[in-house]
Amino acid sequence: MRFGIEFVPMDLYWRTVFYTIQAEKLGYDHVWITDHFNNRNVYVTLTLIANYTERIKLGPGVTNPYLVHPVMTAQAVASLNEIAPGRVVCGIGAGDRTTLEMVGLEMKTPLRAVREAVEIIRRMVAREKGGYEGRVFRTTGGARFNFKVQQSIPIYIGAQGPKMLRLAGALGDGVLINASHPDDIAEAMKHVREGVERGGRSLSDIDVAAYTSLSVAEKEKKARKAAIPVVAFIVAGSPPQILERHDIPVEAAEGIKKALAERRWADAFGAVTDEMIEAFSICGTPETCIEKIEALSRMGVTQFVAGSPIGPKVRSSIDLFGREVIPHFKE
Amino acid sequence: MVSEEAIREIPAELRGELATRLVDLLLEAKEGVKLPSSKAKRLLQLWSLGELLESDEGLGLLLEGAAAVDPEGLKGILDEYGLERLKGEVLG
Repeated sequence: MRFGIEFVPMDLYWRTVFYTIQAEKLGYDHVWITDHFNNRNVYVTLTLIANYTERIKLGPGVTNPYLVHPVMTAQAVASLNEIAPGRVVCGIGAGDRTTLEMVGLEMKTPLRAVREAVEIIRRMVAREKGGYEGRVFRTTGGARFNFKVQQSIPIYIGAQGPKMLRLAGALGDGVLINASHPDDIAEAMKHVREGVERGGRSLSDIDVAAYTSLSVAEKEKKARKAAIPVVAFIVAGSPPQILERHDIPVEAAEGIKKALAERRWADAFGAVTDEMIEAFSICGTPETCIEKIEALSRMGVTQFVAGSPIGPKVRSSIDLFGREVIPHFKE
Repeated sequence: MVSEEAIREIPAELRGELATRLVDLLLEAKEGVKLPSSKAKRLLQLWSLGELLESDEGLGLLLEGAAAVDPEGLKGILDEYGLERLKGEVLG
């Protein structure tokens, strides 16, 4: 099992880099930086991380092909690879519909857009000759880097729905499954396996990452409290079939969504139940986390990504997880 | 700048604990943006080299950083440890 950690660069750049250095020292294998136009820039953050680390793999987790054209994503990760040779990975997904709409972008044909973006990034990094004729993206033969990329850059596809999961299985070097609960991971794995078979590959050819919401603390109660805001947002954004899978009433999720939209935080967070926390996060003491991660590992997950909130105090939780959870799987 | 003499007066048994508390203060301060970029970069460099918490320079940098982002919080910590001279030097 490999271990990744996700940061949302809402916080000051030096804090994100500080936490990443800490994670590297503790044996985390990957750092994923989210890409949202309203936070700090993902590649500026990654460049600084590359500068201050030596071993940890790093990449956007995830970017999208609507806001950033795939040739620019290819350029960014290829340039980053010069600073951190062989350590760069690239996570790409369809993006978030609501965020795209904020800037007047429509999420058209997401499967095709992601597929074509992956193909273009690979071609650019490999400096393949000839243009690319997709339905969403086109490049001419002149669209080539003026520099060589010495290492390959694995591409991970961020996925939640069945079709994107199948695409990730068929095409990705890895898949970032946006889920925390074993039932959701099990369902996702069915689709990833289908994709892998369709692509004529084996599951062992890809890195299957569970991109979770983690909250770890010495005391269960503190971990749960820290998970509440993130879980509220996940519940609000979950489709009905996923809510039903966890016996969460759609009306309850609608209530949270409305409260969040109206910035009634106390109402939104107060409506988060233990069942919601259980469904949408890996939450608890290190022992509880180990049990839950073991369950994911048995399903075929090969990378556990510790996503927000990580815990009540980020530094302490990175430390606790690194000292008490990671060694259980590495030794 | 915190003088080397003032740093060296911190009892050895307190240094590790003090450094960790200063790191937490920096990481959780609401006014973290007040940490000058030059200091932030040096802090990251020392942290990546494993010298932030142990070295005199690292401790001095943490003290200066804490004074910039949360002087009240720093005062509370230094009062707790009875580091009066250091408080005078860092916080004026």
